[in-house]
Amino acid sequence: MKIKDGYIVREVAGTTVVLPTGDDLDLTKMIKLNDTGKFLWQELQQDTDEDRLVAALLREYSVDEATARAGVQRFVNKLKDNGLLI
Amino acid sequence: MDCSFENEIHLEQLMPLIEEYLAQGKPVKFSPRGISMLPMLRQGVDSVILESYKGVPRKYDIPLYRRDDGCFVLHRVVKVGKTYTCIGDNQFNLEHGIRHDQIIAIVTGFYRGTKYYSVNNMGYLLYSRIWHCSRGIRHFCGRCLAGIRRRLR
Repeated sequence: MKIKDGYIVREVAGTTVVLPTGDDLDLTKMIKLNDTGKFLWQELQQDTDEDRLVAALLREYSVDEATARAGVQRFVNKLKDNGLLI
Repeated sequence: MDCSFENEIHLEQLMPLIEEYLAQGKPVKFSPRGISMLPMLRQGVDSVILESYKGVPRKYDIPLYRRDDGCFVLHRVVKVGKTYTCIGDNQFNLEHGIRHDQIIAIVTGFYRGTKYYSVNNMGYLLYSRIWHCSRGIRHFCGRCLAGIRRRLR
């Protein structure tokens, strides 16, 4: 799985947001990411899977595997619900 | 571990980005919050297209403006003079004294659900005029109904 094409990440007033690319600014499709959300979003720029995302989180953050996996699953499910993954 | 994203973002946070796009002449689409522009705009359902504001807003235009207290407001112009008088379609109290420099952008179209309407659409033009002109009678009827409800309790 990976993030669909057509989105860019921007920093706005200290907040990380994901925008659909295009000539207009569609705030109805904008997403705000927290730090770990931003990290996972970057990991998902390449084709990956849940295990690799969990491993990446464990390398980057001081967290146990069960917590990391639960976080990854929640994040991935939200992305799927919003149609952002291929 | 909270690996989250949110779809809800405050307009204040996004204003630098909005102003960047508007300055480039690019439109901005967003969903207004609140109930003040009902029945035209329903929170979480409908959205508006904003474009950079050129010239003087006319009566019935819907500008996005920033109040002196920092709040962003999307209400309809109902009187144009040295300043503007605005009101939400679902409100009865006029807001006077909106200055030219407070206006950020203007609505050029909107989505009711998935259907797009330009502000030049004949049905919309008719709605905006009839709705505003009927404000007094709607207010009167609303107060009568509220009075009847109170007596029936």
